[in-house]
Amino acid sequence: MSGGERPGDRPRGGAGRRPDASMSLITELVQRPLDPGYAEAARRRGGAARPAAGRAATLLALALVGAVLAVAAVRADERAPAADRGRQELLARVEAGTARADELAGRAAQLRAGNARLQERLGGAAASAAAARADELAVAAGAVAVTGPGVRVVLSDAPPDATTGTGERVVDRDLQVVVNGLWLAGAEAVAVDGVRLTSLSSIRAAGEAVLVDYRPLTPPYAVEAVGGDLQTGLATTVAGRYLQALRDNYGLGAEVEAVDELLLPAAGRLDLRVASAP
Amino acid sequence: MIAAVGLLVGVVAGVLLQPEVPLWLQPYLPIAVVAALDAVFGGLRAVLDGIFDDRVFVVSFVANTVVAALIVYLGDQLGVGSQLSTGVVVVLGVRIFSNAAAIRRHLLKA
Repeated sequence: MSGGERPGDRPRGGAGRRPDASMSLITELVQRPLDPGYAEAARRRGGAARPAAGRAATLLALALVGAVLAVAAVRADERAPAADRGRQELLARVEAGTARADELAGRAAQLRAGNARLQERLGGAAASAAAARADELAVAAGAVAVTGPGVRVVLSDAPPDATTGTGERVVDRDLQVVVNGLWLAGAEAVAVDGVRLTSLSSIRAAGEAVLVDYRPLTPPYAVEAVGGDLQTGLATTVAGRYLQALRDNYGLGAEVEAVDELLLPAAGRLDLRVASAP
Repeated sequence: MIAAVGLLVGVVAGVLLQPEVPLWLQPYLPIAVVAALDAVFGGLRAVLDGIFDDRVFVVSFVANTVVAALIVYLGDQLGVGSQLSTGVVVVLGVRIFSNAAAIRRHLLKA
């Protein structure tokens, strides 16, 4: 212990003794953190060498310290992030599932293209008439990609409330109303965040996520539609008033803009439900 | 030197063996960690002061750990275990801090 003139180091008894000496817990704690035993032992020992047994005991004690630290560290590592690890695993599984779905969708597109090629090779008047009819319906069915002028409606969550930290969110119903409004306004093709909608597409909610055709999407949601003069069409439908209400009452972002050139992809999945031989 | 070896041996043993901590001992693990750190920093400071003594080191380490554990045990029985744990951690933490500051003054002269 160095610095002998600190208050805590004053000699016991005598004139220098503070009246509250026996109660100065904090002073003792801060001023004399080192065990006073060390100084006393050093005085007693006088400069003699440390005995071998003592060295061994110190080694043992230090080994114990190390073991305690290691065990505590290992335990903390095991226990604390268990919840986080579960979350990470779920995230990895979601990502793997989405990647696999993309891969399968690509494969389905390839097979569809192969089917179309094979259909063309079928001969006969009936077959060509059927092919022509199929081409007519392809846009409405979502079987082919569509380009053209249209509108883009972007729905985004309201900024979080200052007091609660949460804000109003875009829900599945909002997207349903917008999409139905676009169909009503005469849209030829509609896609949400790049997922082309068909007559059998679903827009649902699962928890806080919006699923379109069972694909989870994240806000902001861009609803794109190809068709003539959809902007005024949309404004006159129920959907137009609904968007206005979303903006006014809930603070959601709802931008409607006309776009000269939109490219909507083909639908990911078309099921053949009814077929008959001519 | 020998101290570092002992510490290293302990850490390696703890990591390799991964002894299962019994359930009744688990509340005392954090206290043991803080008491152990206190002993190590106190010992290191004593070494730098040139007054290190094996007996004092071992006895103070064991005694501090036992007393800290006793206080926590008593607190558990009285229903204020977490508060007393906090108290022990604060007291030992202040000591660790001052010892670390003294060590810093020794080593860095600052």
